[in-house]
Amino acid sequence: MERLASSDTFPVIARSSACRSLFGPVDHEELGRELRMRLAELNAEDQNRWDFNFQQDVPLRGPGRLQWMEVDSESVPAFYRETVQVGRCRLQLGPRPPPVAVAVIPRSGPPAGEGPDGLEEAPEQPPSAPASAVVAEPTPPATPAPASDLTSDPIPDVTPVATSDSTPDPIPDVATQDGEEQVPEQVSEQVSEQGEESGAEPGDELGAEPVSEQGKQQGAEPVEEKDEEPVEEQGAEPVEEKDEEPVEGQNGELVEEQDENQELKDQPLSGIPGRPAAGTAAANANGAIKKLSGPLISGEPRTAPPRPGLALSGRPGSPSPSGASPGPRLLPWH
Amino acid sequence: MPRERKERDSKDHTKMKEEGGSDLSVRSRKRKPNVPVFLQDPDEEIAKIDKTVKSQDSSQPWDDDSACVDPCSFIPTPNKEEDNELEYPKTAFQPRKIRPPRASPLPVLNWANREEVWRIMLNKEKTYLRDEHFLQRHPLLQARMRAVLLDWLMEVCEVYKLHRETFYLAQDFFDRYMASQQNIIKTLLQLIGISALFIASKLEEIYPPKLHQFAYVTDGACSGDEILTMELMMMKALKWRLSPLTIVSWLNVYVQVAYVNDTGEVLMPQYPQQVFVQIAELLDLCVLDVGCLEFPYGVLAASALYHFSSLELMQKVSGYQWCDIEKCVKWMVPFAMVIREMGSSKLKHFRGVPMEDSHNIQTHTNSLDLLDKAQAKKAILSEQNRISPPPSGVLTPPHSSKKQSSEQETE
Repeated sequence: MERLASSDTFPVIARSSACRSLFGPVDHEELGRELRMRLAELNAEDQNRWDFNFQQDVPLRGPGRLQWMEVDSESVPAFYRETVQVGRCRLQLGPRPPPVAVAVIPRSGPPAGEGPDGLEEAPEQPPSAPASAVVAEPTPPATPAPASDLTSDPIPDVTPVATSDSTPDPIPDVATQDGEEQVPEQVSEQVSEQGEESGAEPGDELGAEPVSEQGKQQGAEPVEEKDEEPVEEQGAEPVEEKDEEPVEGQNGELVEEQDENQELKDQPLSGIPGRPAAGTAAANANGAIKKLSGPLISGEPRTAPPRPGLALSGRPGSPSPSGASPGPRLLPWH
Repeated sequence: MPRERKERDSKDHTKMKEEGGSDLSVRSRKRKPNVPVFLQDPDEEIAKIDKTVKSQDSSQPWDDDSACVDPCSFIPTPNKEEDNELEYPKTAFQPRKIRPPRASPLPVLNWANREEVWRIMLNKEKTYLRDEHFLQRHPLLQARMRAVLLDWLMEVCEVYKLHRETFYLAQDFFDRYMASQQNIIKTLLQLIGISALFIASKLEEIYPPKLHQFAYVTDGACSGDEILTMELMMMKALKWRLSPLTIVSWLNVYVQVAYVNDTGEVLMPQYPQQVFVQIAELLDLCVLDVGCLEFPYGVLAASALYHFSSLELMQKVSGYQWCDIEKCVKWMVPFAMVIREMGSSKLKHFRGVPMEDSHNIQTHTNSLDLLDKAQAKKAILSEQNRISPPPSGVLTPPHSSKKQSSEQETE
């Protein structure tokens, strides 16, 4: 804090000498126009890439590379169904209108290709567990999983290798589920789909949201952009953790921590939280839209204070929606 | 430093990763000692994925060629083509066939395999590329403008007491972003520079300046909202890859290895602060010249160290051989001469910064004047070299081929 204070109160003389425009006057109107045009281009690129309209938060219709499918909200962890991120705020939602998650299936891939595609997602899921317990670091959030989607199509040769690499990971989960009912198996399948989804949501949202705000009301651009940017920055961090620590042994340890954070009672599901965490970005996105009008339950406030804090501190490595949540809360501390 | 480092660890482990020397401490805290763990470099993962993305992108035509070129489809110079190949090796052994890696100078580490750490460091050099001819993509810009911008960023860093690592991160982001764009006009240059510093500060500093403070130092040239918009554009252009091993990080590793004692203590600086500052000042001057874009960061740091020590020491701490850095050493001669003439400046102390961290704070001198002197000296040396060529094998000034570029830069 001492440095922060000294920074603010630095001698005016020294500051004024460094405070200067380097290359002549700037036409801010023209500059703003160019920046908005560029952002619109970036948004269009993302939309074409993911067959998803991030301004309206709806999938694009028509023959695209990807087809989006709704899944039951019960298949995602409770954490992602209880709150929703709106700008800098995190609102509590009632249980009545259950949100609907959106998963992605690569349509163009051959039927046989879907299997390997799902398996390719598996290696990325275990790291999500350790990531949740480690301090987040910035890294491209969209790159890992989107590339996996691309991998299945243009380079079939890579698939067998990826499959081989991913084989060891599912075994523990399968072993656990073998002793259980059919439900766990279904969850496992949905995890694969949601795994693909995670890669799409974070990166694309980052690119789309600013444009969306600008498109809605120009007058409010500055304020809303400020609200959006921090969220995006926070959202970028989780993916780094996954890439950094893929070690299986450590995954197990960190999975336990994640279980504690989620306060899950059902043990059969304990192995799953680490994986679904990456796949519920769309669930949050859709929940945000559909449940905004939902009433707040009076009972929630009692449990809200401790749980968000615990969850936030324990899950910095989660996908962008939950990754974004620490941002607003961390800012006041700073 | 102990207090500073402890504070950092508790605040944000990410910041530690950016420093070559301190990078090692982060891993030690995250893992149990003596437990064999295979550390996978996140950049390697990204590089593999980028390979697929790149092949995918190449099949999609870009609509707007004039505004932006995708970094993946960026055509490297002949020198970088080789680097590009190494960027996406199919097997871990392929790079060794093409180019034998530098021998690791790292001491034995008790928390990680030193060969593994060294390999990860070397891979950074291959995945974070710049374009030594980036000015060709921006015909309206001059090399002088880059020097003016970076010099100003140093001044801003000194005013806000930011670390050297922060400045060099910003320089890396700026150069890489400029290599991915086309036809940037000069009025946009300061916005790109201050946005790069904004990103770097949030990555590296414990207490980064606020957004409005960055806008303030541009004296109205850039607004906070414009910085935020540019930030997003830069992040996308850089593909969110923001953890290069900077010049100053390489320098920190080299100097640390040079002074490491028998106790094997490598996490805390073992070198005299004054030594580090002197070499850093030479690098601060060299980085202003666009010629530095031709050399990898590790080579620049090794060459600067060479000018203040000896060939034997340079080889020992960097793993380079003379033939690896000869060209850079010769290019750096006029800058080293100017730094020596200026005399060694005293170690500055900053209020609120621990004594043991003082050498890590970015400083600012009359770098533009020094740059002019260095380039003038380069022209003189080139002329002398042309009249009476010195015998080969002896340390010589830059060849006359540099003279033309020097004159252009001086204009």
